[in-house]
Amino acid sequence: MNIFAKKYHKSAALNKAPKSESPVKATKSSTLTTKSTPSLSIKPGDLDGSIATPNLTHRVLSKMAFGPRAADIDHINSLPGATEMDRILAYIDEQLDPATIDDSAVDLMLNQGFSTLNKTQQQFFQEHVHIPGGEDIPWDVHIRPGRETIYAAFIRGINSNRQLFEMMADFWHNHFNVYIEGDNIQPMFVHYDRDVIRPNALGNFRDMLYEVTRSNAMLSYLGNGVNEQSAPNENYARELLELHTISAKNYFGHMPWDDVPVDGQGRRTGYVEADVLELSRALTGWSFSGASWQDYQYLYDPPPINLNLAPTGLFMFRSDWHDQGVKRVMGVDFFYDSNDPEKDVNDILDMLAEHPATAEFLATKLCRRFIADEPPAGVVSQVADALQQNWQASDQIKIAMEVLLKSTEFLNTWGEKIKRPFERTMAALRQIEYNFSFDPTNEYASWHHWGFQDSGQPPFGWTSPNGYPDVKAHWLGASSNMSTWKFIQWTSRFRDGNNGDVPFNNILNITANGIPNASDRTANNLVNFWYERACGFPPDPGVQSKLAEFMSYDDNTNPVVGDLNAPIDIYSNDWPGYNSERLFAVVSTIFLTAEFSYR
Amino acid sequence: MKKVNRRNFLKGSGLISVAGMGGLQLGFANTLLRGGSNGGGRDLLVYVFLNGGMDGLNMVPPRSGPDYIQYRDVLRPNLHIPNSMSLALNGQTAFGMHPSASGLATLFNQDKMAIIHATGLLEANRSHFEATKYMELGTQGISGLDTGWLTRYFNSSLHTPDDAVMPSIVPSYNNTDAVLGDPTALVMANPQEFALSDGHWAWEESMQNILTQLSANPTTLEQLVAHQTLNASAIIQAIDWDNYVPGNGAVYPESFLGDQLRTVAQLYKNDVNLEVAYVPTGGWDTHVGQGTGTQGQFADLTANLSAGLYALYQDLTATHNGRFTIVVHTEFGRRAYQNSDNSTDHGYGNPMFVIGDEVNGGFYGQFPGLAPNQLFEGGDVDVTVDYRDVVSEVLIKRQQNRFLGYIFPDYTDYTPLGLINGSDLPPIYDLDYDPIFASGF
Repeated sequence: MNIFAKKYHKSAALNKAPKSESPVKATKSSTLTTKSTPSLSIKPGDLDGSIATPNLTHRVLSKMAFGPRAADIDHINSLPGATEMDRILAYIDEQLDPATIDDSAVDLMLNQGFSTLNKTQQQFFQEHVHIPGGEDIPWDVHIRPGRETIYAAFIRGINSNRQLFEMMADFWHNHFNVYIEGDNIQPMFVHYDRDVIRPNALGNFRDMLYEVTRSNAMLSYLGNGVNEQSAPNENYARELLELHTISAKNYFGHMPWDDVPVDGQGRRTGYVEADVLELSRALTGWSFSGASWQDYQYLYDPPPINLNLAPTGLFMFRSDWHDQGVKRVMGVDFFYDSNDPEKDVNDILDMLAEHPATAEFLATKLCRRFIADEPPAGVVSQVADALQQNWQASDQIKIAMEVLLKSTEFLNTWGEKIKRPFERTMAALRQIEYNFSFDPTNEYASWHHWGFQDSGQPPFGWTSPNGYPDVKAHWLGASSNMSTWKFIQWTSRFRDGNNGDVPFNNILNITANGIPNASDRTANNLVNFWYERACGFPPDPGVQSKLAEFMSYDDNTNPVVGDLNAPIDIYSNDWPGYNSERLFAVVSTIFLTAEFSYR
Repeated sequence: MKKVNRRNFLKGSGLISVAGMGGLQLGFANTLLRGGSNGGGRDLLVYVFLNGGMDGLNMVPPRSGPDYIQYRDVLRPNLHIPNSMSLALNGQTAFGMHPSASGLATLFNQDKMAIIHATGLLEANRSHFEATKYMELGTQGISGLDTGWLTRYFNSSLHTPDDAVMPSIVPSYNNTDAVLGDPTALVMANPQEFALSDGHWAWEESMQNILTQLSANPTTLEQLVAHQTLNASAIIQAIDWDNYVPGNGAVYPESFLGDQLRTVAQLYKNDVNLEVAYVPTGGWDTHVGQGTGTQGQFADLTANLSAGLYALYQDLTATHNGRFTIVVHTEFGRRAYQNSDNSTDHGYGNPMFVIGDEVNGGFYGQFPGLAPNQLFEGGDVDVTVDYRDVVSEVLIKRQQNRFLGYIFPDYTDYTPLGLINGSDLPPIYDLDYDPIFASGF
């Protein structure tokens, strides 16, 4: 598997949604000819950086969930507690125990048209990678499990009541990143998500690390499936130290291992090049059935072919590939045990999982995910302590997350981060209660998949093993911004052509419930209602007036400002005003503002 | 902290520093529509970065002598490019080109390409992410920098017009730290898709107009990005992307890299003051399935790279002869020894390429040799050339920027190799040097 290799999809070949049809050929009067001359001489002082702060519930749902959804706000308001803070703490407790939260709506959706989610790891391999006997596999069958995992990520992001759990699953997928379009990865992706990442998303790091190390998804991706003692392949060993445990911060490079400082408990505080090689030696033979060309030799045996010899994709310890010598990793010697051939690696994984550098690395990343790009040292240290002291506990990660989520740093900060493209999109779709089923047999599901590709953050789409960047500087590129905007623009007006062109958004109903009196549905009120709902605070007057003016246009061919206080019939969608479509456009414009992007 | 330069220097309220605001002028788009042309500005620098660590030993394989024997028989018995297959280069016996790199071999034979042996970071680092970060930030020794090397290049460029429309582009879906802190750098993968065109037809245009108005006077970094995105979109939409005819009949490969390079050429020819294109292209991390000869991943990547660079050269030289330089770089070379999958792990020293009409074709730098005692830590091609010497020579002679100490903060010993023509101005290493005084303003 070649990391850093992004698959090239020629744009003409993508199954994207058609553009909206126009009864009259829309004349494209370019924005270039507008009379206004945009100012270019922006003065340093103009970027004062001040942003309004929403209430606690809005903040928390933007940070530990994929954005506030009306049902979640109602639920929080119904929780016991005298103050908003009490109810939020109760919500955090609930979220830390996802098994107790009903998620039957999601379960139902995952039963509509999904056909692979319940297969075994061996079935994925033998039905989607290599059919015993070597029969060809159609491409759509090959990629189906991967595609279903992607659709499931959309479904859960938008609809799951277990929002923290979904944020954690996303976090660990990035920590143990495997690029979904890698060779033979898509067939295994349900397995990777379901059997490796999710069981310990709030559980135990050491257990997850072990499952990762044995999964044919990771073993394929980082090439350890073909790691033999004759000439070890260092790829997985390097990333295991650098990205999964001790971290690059504690990499001492080309230095003798015994020059690395020792901590108070006698641990080496970091690793050197020699440790990478030693760990790669330990990992020799950690493979899976189907990784070696020899696993396919059964096809060339004298007939009849014995199908029972077909590779399974399951973990396979190849003792003849395994280096049985002593390995010295970070100053500790690890011995091979013929009665327990996985022991040397397991002992190393124990050392790495227990190591304070690992705890600090994980804590920093978790705090970066949930609090700030450069998280305050105090909370990082508390979370690291919780991880390290409980490293063997089955609920280690849950304990640490409770410390994080109940910290003042988490509860009180705002705008230290921006929503990345997936989070921004989920937040928008949660606002409009987007109800597309993502049924994999429905062509629209594929339109969503391809439409979101260019955002820069399609689910599981990061090619290299370090996962999507989690600092805002990375996400301020125009390409990602524009593509995310376009996807939100499209979903905010997309209609079900198979069902009377009913929109998948629920904007009209939400508006009618929020502003029950039709005579109150003025341009001003519509904008105020949606802006405050989406951003968590009332719009700045300059922003408000622009959006309200847009909402007051009643002729798309001649957009002029109307009466901002006159009621608008939001259900009318006739030429030339297209009121419903105009409301959809105004709402999606709010999602494209910088103010909506904070978390 | 750097002092202000002639461009407005912005500080983003403790977020990240925001560099000059000259770029992405909407006003200029009107000139474009009128068919205006300025033709000014610097040479174009196209910086192609091969992510993952390109295997230089198979890209530029030894062809003779003890290094060849060592390469063929000891280091890579199942992975080497035999000298019966590698492409011979004019006047060269020691090294040739990969058989899938015929375009590059042609450029070399036409004296348009320099190959610099054994370049790299001064301190070895086999982590992709660390080595790449050091190269993108332009420093290995200084931590906490919040600008990339290209950001500092522009901050200190005395020649970039104040009203440059689009001084730099990264034709990619992902941002790079090379332009960290520079919101004028346009990160844009696909110009045909770069417009708010997925709304309902009736209100799509109003939506773009309103959004443009909402972000017209940005007060936060995020608003500034929205502002730049919309301005850039307007400029991009003014260019006819669909009917482009490359110069000299050049044919770009049908690949993402081909698309990226064509976008660069097209933008450059549209006189948007494009001065730097940073082109990341991945896939070079060939731990498994590297392949040999003209088969396998490495050969495919090489064929694509070679065809892309050849097309870009042909296309640009037709109209901009002597006005562009292409630099090809990667984070590190690969291990001299093959691994158990007849592929390669991370290594150290590696060749760089510099391509252009003003290049003095040939090999540069000293190849350190492949004998066990010559390999770095017994396993990698060693580094004999600081990669910054190569880049700096191009910056000084072609881009006329000599603030090397500012661009590469821990760099003090510029040693030009003579690989390209141009005035060799004395470098300025002072970190706090103020270009305003230098320019006599």
